[in-house]
Amino acid sequence: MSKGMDSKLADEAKSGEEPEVLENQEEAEAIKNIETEERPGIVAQISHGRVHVVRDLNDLVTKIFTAPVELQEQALRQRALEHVVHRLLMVGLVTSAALMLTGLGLDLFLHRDVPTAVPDVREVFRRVAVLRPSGFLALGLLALIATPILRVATSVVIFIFERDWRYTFITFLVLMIVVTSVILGSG
Amino acid sequence: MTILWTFIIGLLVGAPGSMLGIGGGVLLIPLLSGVMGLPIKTAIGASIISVIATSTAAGAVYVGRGLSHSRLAMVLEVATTLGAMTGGITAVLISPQALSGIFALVLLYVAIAMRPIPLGKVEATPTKLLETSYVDPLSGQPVRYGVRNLPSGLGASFLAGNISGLLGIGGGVVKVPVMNLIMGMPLRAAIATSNFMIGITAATSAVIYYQHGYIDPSVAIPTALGVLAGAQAGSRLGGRLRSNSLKQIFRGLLVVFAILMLYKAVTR
Repeated sequence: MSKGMDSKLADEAKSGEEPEVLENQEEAEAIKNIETEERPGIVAQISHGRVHVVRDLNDLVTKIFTAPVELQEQALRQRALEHVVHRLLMVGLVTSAALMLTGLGLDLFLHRDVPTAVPDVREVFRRVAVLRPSGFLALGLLALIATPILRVATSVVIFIFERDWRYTFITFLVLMIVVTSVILGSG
Repeated sequence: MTILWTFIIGLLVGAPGSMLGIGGGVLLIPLLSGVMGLPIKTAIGASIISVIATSTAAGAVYVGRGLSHSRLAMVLEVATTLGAMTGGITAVLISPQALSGIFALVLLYVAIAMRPIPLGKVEATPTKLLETSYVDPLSGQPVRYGVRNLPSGLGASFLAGNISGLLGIGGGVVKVPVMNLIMGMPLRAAIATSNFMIGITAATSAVIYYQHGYIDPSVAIPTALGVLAGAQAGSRLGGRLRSNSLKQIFRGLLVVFAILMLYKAVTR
């Protein structure tokens, strides 16, 4: 069903015309690809009335302006959200590495042995507050563990934002399994 | 001293890991537990932290390139996290000897699974189920594909999560062949998608390990930093070494480590 539409759309894109905005339900269900003339290939994909970014993000900003205004807005929003996930992973990684290195550096500076056990979460913050190296080390570990969990939590928000209730449910379920694991792990 | 050695082990493990697309866990745990003589649960705790670190670092890159199928990942994550939760609880309950024994068996499986490649020959086909596409980094051409046999994928994901939670490894070695051969995903996309899921899967069991004191900062932190640095170096060296000979060395090493872990399982 979508195959004919794909090629039709691709032809339109190649001849320099902009793809039409989705209007009726049947079109909204079809999967379409937005291509551009100077660099053929799928830039973004429209399915179920939403725009999904499918190639490298840096490229997209320029490419997406060939699409109609409504789609541009959707795609830029999507891009912003994917960007959030990318940034979140990087920030989480750098933060935890910095905390770990700080802890190791403090241990070295104070001529202490690196601790062999981690305190519980409340104790971690108390130790960081008084600049104890063991607090930084444990907080670095917790930041690393929290990074993928925050990624899932962010995905829940992304799907709510997209009004994609099926995936809101799926990602929320994953988050609840992790929460269950935290609770069961304390017993 | 332990710190320096664990950092070096991390470095040594991170490089071939990133070159072969295999998480360091299968090498890390035998080295920490078998060679350095640390308790296996401490080795598992350190490994899971390294697994989160490498998955996060690679995941950030893959998200940027659009290689991983994030929607499929979210679906399969339900199964991997459930598996990781039960695996993590099991790891707490069973004896270190039993863990060493199971680990030895998994190492042998990995050594067999890495035999000269039946992977990658899959024709990417649209299936109307979770269709997506990505741009192949080598050819520059868009590859469009859909997913088949989702229930098998969910089953493999549960098993992968379970092994990950039980033994502190990533579990990609279980998922990737199934995603590629049975679900019909292109190998590149299967690897990226599997990696994307490993972070949250490992975090699910890490919260259990943390609360049970398996995470020893003096082991886990230098190891994780070493693996991250090693993986950086590995991805730069990657192109120059012939990966097939590297693979054969790797397989030999796995068999040696399997014997070592088996020995650890029957003694003490």
